[in-house]
Amino acid sequence: GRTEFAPDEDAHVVGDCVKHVLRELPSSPVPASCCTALLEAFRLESKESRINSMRAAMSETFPEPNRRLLQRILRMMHTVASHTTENRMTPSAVAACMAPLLLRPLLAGECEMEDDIDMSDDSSAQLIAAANAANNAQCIVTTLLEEYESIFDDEHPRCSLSPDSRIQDSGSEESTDDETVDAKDNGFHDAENDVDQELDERILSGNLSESSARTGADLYDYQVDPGDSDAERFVTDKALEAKSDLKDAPHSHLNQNGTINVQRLPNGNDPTNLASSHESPLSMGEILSSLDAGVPLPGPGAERSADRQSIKSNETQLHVKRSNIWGRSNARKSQQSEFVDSSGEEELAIQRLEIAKNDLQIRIAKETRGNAILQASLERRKQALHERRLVLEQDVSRLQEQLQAERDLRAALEVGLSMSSGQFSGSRAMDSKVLKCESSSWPAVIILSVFGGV
Amino acid sequence: SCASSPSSPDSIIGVGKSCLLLQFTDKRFQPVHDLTIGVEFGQRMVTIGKKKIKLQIWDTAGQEAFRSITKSYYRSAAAALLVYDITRRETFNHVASWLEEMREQADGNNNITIMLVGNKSDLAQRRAVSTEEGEQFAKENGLAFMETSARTRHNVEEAFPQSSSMVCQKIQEGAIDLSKSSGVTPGGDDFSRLEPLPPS
Repeated sequence: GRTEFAPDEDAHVVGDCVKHVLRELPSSPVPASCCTALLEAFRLESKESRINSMRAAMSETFPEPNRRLLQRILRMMHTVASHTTENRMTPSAVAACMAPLLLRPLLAGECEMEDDIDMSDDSSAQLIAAANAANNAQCIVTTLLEEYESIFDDEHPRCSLSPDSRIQDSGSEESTDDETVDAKDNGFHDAENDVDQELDERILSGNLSESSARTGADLYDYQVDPGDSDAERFVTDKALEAKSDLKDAPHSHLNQNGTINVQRLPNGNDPTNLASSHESPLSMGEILSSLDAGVPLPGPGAERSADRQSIKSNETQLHVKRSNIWGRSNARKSQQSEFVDSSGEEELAIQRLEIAKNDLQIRIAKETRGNAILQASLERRKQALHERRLVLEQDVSRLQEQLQAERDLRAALEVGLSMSSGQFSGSRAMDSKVLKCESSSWPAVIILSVFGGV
Repeated sequence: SCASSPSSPDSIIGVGKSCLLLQFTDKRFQPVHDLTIGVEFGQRMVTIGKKKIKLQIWDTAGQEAFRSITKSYYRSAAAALLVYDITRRETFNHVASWLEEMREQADGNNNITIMLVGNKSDLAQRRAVSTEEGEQFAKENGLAFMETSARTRHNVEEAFPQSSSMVCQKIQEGAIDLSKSSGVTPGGDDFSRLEPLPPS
């Protein structure tokens, strides 16, 4: 929902939002193959070769958006860790927080580790392997954090130098500030800078559509997609919001960051924007929107707001119309009288109401007739069902009587039959020990139970 | 429940009901048989009077703990084998109480054919109940009698069919009404019902 954090926002909220975004990314910020590469690099003995091969893994296996995202997160972590004395978040503690989100495949066991294959079926071994993976992930991220400059610096000086210097600046400047405010301020500005940087890079590359296609891999891309009107509005809104924020409490950081951003701008940009940004503490949003594909800020913004207003007024008119036609209650009438002033309009409205009233009366009459017909048919149906029920009940009782009669007859017949067979039984048993087979009185199945025991 | 190995502890030794059934239905002997839980089921075709009859056999657990389950099988059977172990006197002593309970539960099914079976006749050297004693008890209580050995198949092929033919005889004499009795199914050569019926 919210895309903007006030300078006094709780640091935990900001941190949790970052983690949430990472968690909700459709794929891992660091792909499985890169995790494996980093893991292999991390396992090397000497620190030098480890860092070298980590750098190699970073430049060779990482897709560009993933690497940029990772760098961005690491810079943020670096900022947090640079205040260890106040927030007690050491690099390894920050790494412990973020590693599971960054190296998702490693913790999910998707990276082959040659020493846990043979005991993968044992649950305790699986636990140990999972603990190992978590430990490795933390150590890898810690290393990336601590050796950030040597791993990333060489090939991307622009990306890494400016945030680092900024972090140092802010650290020294705000040492007197309250620690929480300080930490999140950094987070806030970092996020801003990231947005800025994204846009900046897009303009530099001149390939807007391609960068917007990377949405999902980049943390803030979806917020600043230049092809999207929503994003445009977002930028505009942000500019306005940021402005009002600044009026309340002008912040040296914004100014400073703005300056850095402006300095990074390519020469081809509008010089007036540059000038204005130097003159007053402008918000990031304003700079951003001025950068936004060369579309001037006040134009569309004003237009849009004008449009909105006209839409609103249209809505109001519609509302009045509706209440003219449908409003019958006193409350609505009074509401209507607020909107309609002239007596001519009043008369017109009365006429309309009369028409509506007549129309409704006709409809009600129709409905009433229809209902009466339905009710009559329902009554008939009920009556028919009731009659049918009575007939069936009579049938059932008659059949029950018939059944009872048949049963009585059967009992009588059976008595006669057993008497006659009883007479024969003696002679039959005498007849022979060999049983004669008469299929009519021969069983198909005999059930035999076996009992006994103590 | 059956375990005729002489070294087995008494507590898990049965009188050999399950072994008798296994020998009769599968023609094999299993020296160490697991304890019957509740009721087990076996079936075999027997030929009586040149006609084939399916014999459904419910093998019940001997232990007191299962008595409430086994009770319900008295009523629905047309015939019963009441088995004791000739090497253990206490199993023979218990026959009377089995019989009493059976007659109590039979509840109108007074035509149930009961055969007293002294099992483990192969363990002659450990015999604790004489054949005469068994015969005597059977005679006094109107039961058929036979000594069997599930191990050697002695009388196994006889005990089950003989009980069945006694049932058939009772049917022919009219003492059992085929259409009323729950332990027999009429229908000559109709063998469509292959599954055992649950006890009523």
